[in-house]
Amino acid sequence: MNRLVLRGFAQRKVRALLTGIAIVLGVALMAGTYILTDTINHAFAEVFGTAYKNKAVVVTAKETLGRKSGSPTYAISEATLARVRAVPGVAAASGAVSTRATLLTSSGKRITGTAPSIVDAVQPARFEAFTATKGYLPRAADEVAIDQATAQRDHLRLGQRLVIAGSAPARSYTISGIAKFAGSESFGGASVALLLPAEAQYVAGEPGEYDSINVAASAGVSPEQLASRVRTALPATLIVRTGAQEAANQTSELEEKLGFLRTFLLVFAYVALLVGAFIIFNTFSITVAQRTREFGLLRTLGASRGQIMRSVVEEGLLLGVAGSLVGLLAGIGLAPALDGLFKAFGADLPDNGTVLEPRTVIVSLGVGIVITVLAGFFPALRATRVPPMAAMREGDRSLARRYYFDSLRSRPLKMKTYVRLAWTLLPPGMTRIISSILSPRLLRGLSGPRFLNEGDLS
Amino acid sequence: MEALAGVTVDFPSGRFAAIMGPSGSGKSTLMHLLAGLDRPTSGTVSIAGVELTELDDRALTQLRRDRVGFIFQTFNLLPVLNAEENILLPLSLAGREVDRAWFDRLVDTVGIRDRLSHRPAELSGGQQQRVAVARALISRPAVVFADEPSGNLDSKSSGDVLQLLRQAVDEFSQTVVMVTHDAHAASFADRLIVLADGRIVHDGGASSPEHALDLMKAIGR
Repeated sequence: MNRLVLRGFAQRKVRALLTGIAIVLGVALMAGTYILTDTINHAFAEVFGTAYKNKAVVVTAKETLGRKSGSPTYAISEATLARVRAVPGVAAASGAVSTRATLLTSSGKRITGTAPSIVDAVQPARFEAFTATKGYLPRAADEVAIDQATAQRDHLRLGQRLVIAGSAPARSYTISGIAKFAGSESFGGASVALLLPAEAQYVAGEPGEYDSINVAASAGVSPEQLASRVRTALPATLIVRTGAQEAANQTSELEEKLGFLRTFLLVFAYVALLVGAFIIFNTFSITVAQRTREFGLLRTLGASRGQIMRSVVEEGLLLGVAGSLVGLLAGIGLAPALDGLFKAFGADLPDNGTVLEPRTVIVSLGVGIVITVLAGFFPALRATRVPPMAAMREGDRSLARRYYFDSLRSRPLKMKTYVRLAWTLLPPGMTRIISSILSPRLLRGLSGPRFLNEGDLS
Repeated sequence: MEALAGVTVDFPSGRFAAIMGPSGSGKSTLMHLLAGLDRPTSGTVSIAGVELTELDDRALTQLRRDRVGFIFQTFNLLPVLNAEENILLPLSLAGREVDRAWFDRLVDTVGIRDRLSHRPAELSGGQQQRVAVARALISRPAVVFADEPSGNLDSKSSGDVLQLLRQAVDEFSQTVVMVTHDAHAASFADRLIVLADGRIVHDGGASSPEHALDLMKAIGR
C-alpha cells in the first residue's frame, strides 16, 4: 500500500508539483517573514548592545517623546547632570540630546529617507556610538557629522553646508565628518546629524536641557551598584537603568514596533496557505473522482476503508512534507530578497547575518504539513465511500463520471469565491492591514516618499 | 422489478461453473451477490460456510480479501505496480507472508515469469489477464469469480486464459464461477447455468459450444 502511494504520487507528479507550489509559496513567505524579522531584531539587539557597551548606567526622563504632545515631562537639567557627576563611583557623565529635525542642503533640497531625520548631541569618545569614517565628529558649534547611508544617498561631502531646522529658527552647519553607527552602515534608515550638545539643545528648542545622561563607572564599581547609587541621588521622576538594561529595553521596544511588519507579512503567508489548501482540496477531490475504479478495485481485492483513507491522507502528507521543506528552503532564500525590497524603498534595516530560529522551522513545517493534510482529509473520506462495485462496471465510465461531477458540484467553483472566503476567515485586524496597503495614502507614500510629511510613517 | 427471484444454487468446491444469460438476465447481479459485492434485499449467500448477509463491511472486506479471488473483463491491474506487485497485491493488502513456492508455481503456470518486472502498460491483453489470474489465485481463495474473463481478448489469448482456469480447477482443485455470454467460453466449465429474467432456466453438466448456443437461442434473444 505504501508503495502504491509512492508510485501513485510519482505518476501524478506534475499535478503534485503544481499543487505543491501553493504550499511552497505559503510556507516560504511564512519562513521568510520569521527569518527576516528575527534577523532584524537580532541585528538591532547587536546594534543597541554595541551602542550601550561603554555606558554603565543611563538616566532617562519619563516620556521623552511626550514633550511634543504637550503632556508633562521631566527634562534633565544641567543641575541634575552635576548631581550625577557627584555620585561616588561615577567616572564620567555626559548629557545626551536626541530630537527630530528637518535636514536641508544649502540649496534648500530636503534630505529625507523613509525613516525620520534625527539630530543627536555628540558625546565624549567613550560614550559615542558613532565613529567618523571620513573627517571628524563635530568639535565646533558650526560643525555637523552626518551618517554614512544618508551621505551616500544624497551625495553629501565634507565641507558642504547643511541646514537644520527643528523647534528653533534654522541654522546652517558645515559637514565636518561622515559617521557610522556602532559598526552598522545605517541607523535603520533614519538620517542622523550629530551636533555639539548646545547646538542639539538649540535645535530641540530646549537650551540647557538633556534627554538622557550617560554614565561611566570607576574601576571596581559594577553597573548595578552604580545604578542604585545614582537612583538614590535623583528624583523618582527619572529612570535609572544599567546600559545592558537600556539596550534590552530599546531592543524590545523596537521588536514591538516591528511586530507590525511581521503581522503584515504573515497575513500574506496565511492567505497563500489558505488558497493553497483550497487548491489541494480541489486537486484531491478531482484525483479521487478519477481514481474511483482504482479504489473500487482495491476494495474488491480486500482493502479496508481505513487502508484507502490512509493511502490518500499519506499522499497529502507526502505533498505537505515535500512542499513545506522546499518552502522552508525558499523562505531562507526569500528573507534576503524581502530585505532587499525594503532597502529599495529606503528602509535600510541593519543586517548582521541571517537568523534561523528553531521556531521558524517548527512553525513553518508544522503549519504547511497540517494544512495540506487537512485539505486532503475530506477527499480521502470520499475515497473511502467508493463501493467495491465501482470496479465491476467494466468499460462503463459512467460511475467515475458521476463521482467526478458530484465532486465538482460539491465545491465552490470560482477563484473569487475562495478569495472572499479567505477574506472572511481572516482576523479583522489583518483585513484592515491589507486594506490599508491598498489605500491611496500608502500607495502615494510608496511611490513618492518625498511628498510625505514628517511623521506620516512613524 | 426484481433482478433475481427465487434463485437457489450451490457451487461445490473444486468445480468450474459457467453462468450464461442475455443482458439483463441477472447474471452479473447474481455474481455480485455471490461475491459479497452487493447485498440481496432478501435471501442468503454463504461462502465456505460463512453467511455473507450477516457480515458488516469490515468482515465482508476481510472475507473478499482472504476467501475470494476476482478476474475482470478489463483485467483491472494497477497501472503503477509491475506484474509481480500486482499478483501479490491481495497479500500486501492483508499484510500476509508470501508463499514463494506457491507464487513460483503460479507464475510458471500462467507463463509470465519473464514479464514479472513489467508494468501492465507494457503487457499484451492476454498477458495482463494471465497476471490477473495469478493475482486471483495467490491467496488460495475458496472461490474465484471471473466476470467475462475472455471478453476483451482475441480468440488465441481467450483460449489460453480459459485453459488456465480449467487447469486451476483440475490441478489446484480451485472453485471457479464464471459469468460469460460466450458459448465457447462456457464449454470449458463442468457445469452450465443459464439465467433469463432473473430465474434459472437451465442447470446442467458440461456442454458443447453448440449446445450452449442452442440453449441461448431457446430463450429467444
